[in-house]
Amino acid sequence: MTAKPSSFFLYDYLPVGVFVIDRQFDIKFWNKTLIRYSGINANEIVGKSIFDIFPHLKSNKYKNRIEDVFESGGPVIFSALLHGHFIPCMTKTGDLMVQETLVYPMKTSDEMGGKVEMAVFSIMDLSELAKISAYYKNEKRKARAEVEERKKSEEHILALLKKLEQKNRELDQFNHIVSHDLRAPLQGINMVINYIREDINEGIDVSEKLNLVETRIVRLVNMINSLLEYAKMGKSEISACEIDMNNLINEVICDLNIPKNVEVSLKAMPVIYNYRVLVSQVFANVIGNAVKYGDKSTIVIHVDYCEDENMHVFTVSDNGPGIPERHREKIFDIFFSLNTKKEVESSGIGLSTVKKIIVEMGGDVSVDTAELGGAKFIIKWPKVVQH
Amino acid sequence: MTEVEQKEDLLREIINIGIGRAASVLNEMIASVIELDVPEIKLLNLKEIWDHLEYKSREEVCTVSLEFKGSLSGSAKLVLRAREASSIVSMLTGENDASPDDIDVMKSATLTEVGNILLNSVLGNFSNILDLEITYDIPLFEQDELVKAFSSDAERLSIVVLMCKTKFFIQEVGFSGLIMVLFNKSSFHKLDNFLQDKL
Repeated sequence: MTAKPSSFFLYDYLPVGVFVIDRQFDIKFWNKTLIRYSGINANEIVGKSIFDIFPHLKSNKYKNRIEDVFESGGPVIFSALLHGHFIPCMTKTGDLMVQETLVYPMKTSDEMGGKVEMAVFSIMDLSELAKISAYYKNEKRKARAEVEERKKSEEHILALLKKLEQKNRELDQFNHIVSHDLRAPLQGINMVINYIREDINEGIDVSEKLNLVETRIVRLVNMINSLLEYAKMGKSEISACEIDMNNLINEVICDLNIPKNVEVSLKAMPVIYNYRVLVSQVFANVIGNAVKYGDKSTIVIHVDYCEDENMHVFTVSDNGPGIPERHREKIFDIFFSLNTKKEVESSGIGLSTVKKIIVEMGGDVSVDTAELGGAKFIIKWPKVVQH
Repeated sequence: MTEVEQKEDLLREIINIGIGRAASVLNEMIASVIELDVPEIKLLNLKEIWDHLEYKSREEVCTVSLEFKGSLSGSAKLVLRAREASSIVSMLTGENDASPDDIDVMKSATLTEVGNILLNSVLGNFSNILDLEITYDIPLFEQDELVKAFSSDAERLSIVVLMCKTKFFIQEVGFSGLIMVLFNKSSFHKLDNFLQDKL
């Protein structure tokens, strides 16, 4: 672009603000659009230094770059987001105009070596565009927040559905228990009572049969109590705390009134952070089962511990009869009992409680063959408490 | 040190001085502290650049291009990954948006200004140190796949590329970009001669 001041009038026909300065930073031309933008007439401003009229342009962020246009001959851009405006002008709505400004060198000649004599500033009013951009940005943020909110709601609903499915499964199990498992001993009692009635009529001693009724009633009461405990599990208001597992397991052993022929050994146990009641219930059930079903003259139980990145891993091994592979899943179902020891009263609820507690805590429980020959329960308890 | 290494050294110095100037201009403009660094420069043929880029050819990038002519002619480009480009604008303008929006007209103008400052400083320094006369066009912004940012140059020029891997640190957050100066063969020979004279 070469400097021909006589042709500046063409800039009057442009829909952007244009002004021209010389190397002394004096304004040589001020177009009609700029008069409209700024309210400053050309005769008020032409011949004056831009730094006198607009003192903020004296700061390095403007002055150095304007000087660069004269020195290096490269065009310079002042964008709206970084500068807001180049010269202060008001819009029709009374807001400060948002501007993008391009400064372009004007040479004495198009030939190489031509000196930059003037700089042409073109100022574009982006106020409307900035408003639209801000509006869409805001709408987009609102939409994004709405999507996030919906996503959270969906996740919440899915979690509730999962819980509901679990509760339905439990309800099915309850129906099954009430209709089959609880009815069976009641029918058994009813049958014995009929025998007793017949025996009384025939003058036969019924004390043995009464003992049988009593045993069955005790078993039924145990079953109902266990069932209630299972149903209540997870509903109690409990809070997590630090648990010294060495102490906890020793307390469990003490509460179980373990007979003298049982030897329990513990490896170094950690301190974990969790729900004491639930952890205690799990170990009471698993160690209690090892004692209950032990079939050797000396029952050996070994509690071990290791950890991985996310889980505390406890193992409870014994020298009992073990769990056949085909039953290793089923033993965690409610009211399933292997019943290998006829004299043992089993509600069949203990291991399902264990499974329920551990799964709800985000862990896992499985069973394998112990090196001692019996069962080995592997209990994986998450390091981070699930609320 | 071989002659080629000496020339690369001189180019690195020229680029670094230019980048340093650009950083001080940007620091005067914005509230955040911005640092620029050019850890690696290479002279390559256009075909060779893909072996040296951490970008995929179909990756979406924002490019600010500045055509220049005079003693040397060609095109200088600032290339930024689109996602990073948006973050850079957010940080420069103090939006601090955790998930920056797409690049709209306002943001593209800001990137054009950043490119304008960087590329003017780099080319200006070539001009000063090697005593060359260079004139520049108005910088242009494009958002497209990286491969397309070079397609028009590949058709027009038999090209030698001065590739400068560039690191931006704004409020200590790092972004990577590229400054590329594409010369046609004859311009590159001229540059080579100018460098030879300065050794």
